[in-house]
Amino acid sequence: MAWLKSFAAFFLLQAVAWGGTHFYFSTFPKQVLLVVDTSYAMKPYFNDTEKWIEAYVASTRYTDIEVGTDKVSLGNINELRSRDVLYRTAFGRISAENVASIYSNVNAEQKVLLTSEPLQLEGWQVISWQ
Amino acid sequence: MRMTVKALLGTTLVASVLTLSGCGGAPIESTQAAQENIVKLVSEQIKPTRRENRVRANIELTPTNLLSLLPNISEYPITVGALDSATVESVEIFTSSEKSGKGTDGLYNDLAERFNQQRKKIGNGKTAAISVRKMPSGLGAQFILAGQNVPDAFSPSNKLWGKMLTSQGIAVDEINAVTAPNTAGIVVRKSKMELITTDGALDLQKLLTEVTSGDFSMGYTNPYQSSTGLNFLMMVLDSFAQGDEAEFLSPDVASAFEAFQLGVPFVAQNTLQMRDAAVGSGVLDALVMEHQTWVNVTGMADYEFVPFGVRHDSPLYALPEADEAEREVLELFNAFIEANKSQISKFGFGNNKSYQSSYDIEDGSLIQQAQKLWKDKKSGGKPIAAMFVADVSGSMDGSRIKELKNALVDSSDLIAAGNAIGLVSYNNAVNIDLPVRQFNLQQKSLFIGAVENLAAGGATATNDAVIVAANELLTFAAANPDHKLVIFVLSDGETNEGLDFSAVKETLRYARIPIHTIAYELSSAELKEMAGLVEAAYIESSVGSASYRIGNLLNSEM
Repeated sequence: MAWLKSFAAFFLLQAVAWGGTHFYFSTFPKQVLLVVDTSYAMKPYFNDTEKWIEAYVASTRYTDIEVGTDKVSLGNINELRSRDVLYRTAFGRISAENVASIYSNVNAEQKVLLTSEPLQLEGWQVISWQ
Repeated sequence: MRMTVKALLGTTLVASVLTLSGCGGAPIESTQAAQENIVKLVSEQIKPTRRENRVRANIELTPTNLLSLLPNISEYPITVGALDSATVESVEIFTSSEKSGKGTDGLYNDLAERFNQQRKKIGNGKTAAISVRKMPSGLGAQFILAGQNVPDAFSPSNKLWGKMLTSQGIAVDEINAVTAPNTAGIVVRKSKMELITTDGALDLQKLLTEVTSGDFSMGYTNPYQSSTGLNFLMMVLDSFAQGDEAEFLSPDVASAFEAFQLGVPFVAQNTLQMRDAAVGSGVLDALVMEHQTWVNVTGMADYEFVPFGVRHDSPLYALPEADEAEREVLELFNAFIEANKSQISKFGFGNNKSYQSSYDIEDGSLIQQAQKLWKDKKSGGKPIAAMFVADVSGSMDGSRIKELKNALVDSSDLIAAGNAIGLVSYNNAVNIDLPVRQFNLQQKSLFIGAVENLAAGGATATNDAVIVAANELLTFAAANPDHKLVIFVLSDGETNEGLDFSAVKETLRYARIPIHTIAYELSSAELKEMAGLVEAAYIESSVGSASYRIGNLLNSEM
């Protein structure tokens, strides 16, 4: 009987810890910003980009992912009408300064730029296809 | 003899240097030199007064829109046709300019004349007749939308206007979708053709990439007025929205359009202005144009035509004004058009038959929303600082200054609040009535007050006033470098006082401030040349159409 009580207490403790953790991370999810380079040169890599985003989303929990392009911020990834919206304004050339300027007010813990250019952006993780 | 030649040469040389320099200094060959010369001319020669307006006028709570500024219909006369009578059933058609002009631009005139000569009878015993009124498609649509001088029928260049009218509840019955087969296109320098095409067809994303990179400059016409300009705008938005009409006006589409606009040097008021900018000054690598215009244009042998967007097949619509008898006339005329299709090639129509429209629009209300988007985003996010230069010489007295005041006050509603404006008035002297400041309610009130206080008298020192306006703008730009600068000159006479145009021409050219000129009851080669210095528009206006012409210009530029 004692072992049953111990097990119940242990189980309860685990459940509370799990629930608390879940509640904490659900309330305070990690903020991530994903920005897709939609320049003309990036067009051949859109399929790879989409696979990368798919895998990234699948591998993360308790993460609030904001998305955008090198031209405009698009909001939460789950609220996009379609993921295709990310790729539809594919023209022009990417400018690191422009990207930094558009997202200067975003306080994400992680900022990721998906691009075909060898860019350096301070505070950003740059995933480059070439 | 030798001495005379030497003297002549010497005189010519000195005159040339003086002309180039504007006042005997070094020739103007840079923006900095131009700006320095402007400061010098203002402080040492022109010495304008600064009687700043302090009167705040009341502001109308109901803002003016373009539809309330339409010109008198008599400004657009009937080119062919007869009036209704006891024996004649005449149908008036608003006909776009490429079909109702002279020579190769006169297809509908030719058809209507020959149709009328047949004197066909209709059911009510009257003789069928067609009247052609030359009317730009956009203006025609505006008249119909406003319910003002609505004709019996409408033949714009493309079907976008018909869709726009339908979306506004106007019963537009298509009599014929194709009366004069034609396409719109981008006319591009042969040497740059590859930059915007893939396998010979327009690659819009390539074009947008080149334009935004700044290495390739293209111009297009005002989509409120021009069918080709509207077609280009809708094609770009359709491309961004990937054909999904629900997404045409979404924020990312709007932002992408704004990014594109940053690379567009200017939006022209008409095709001629763009052609001059391409062929004359070489500013443009590409411009939009209808194919029928392209085959009839001269001096563009180094360019090629690439079709784009929806076809420009000149649909023929019956409007609610047309009664049963008039619709019978339209059907007869339509049959006549069909029977004479072999004639259209004489006028440059009927080419590019295999070209299919690259997009279509179901919801016509999107067109007006797209025009609004264009107005909001056309300056690529940059605010505009404009100086109005108003001629108040003696010749402006009477109805001219009265209508000019009305035009400026009415048109001020079309200026976006984020822009900055000021006012300079002049006769033989120049006065700064209102320095350039942001166009908030206070400045708007002061602007209207300044306009209402304008009084005519004296001579015409246009060039002095333009130099003063440029100086004011450059001073403003020093503290506000993000603004695009522009000058609007409104004058009814040639300069007869102050600096000669030849003395300031190079200074104004290198100052790089576009100067839109409105010749008021006047045809002025000098004002036209002034506008052409930095790819701005030259517009001739009557007293009656001043509000519309100025309003249209401000709507597209501010």
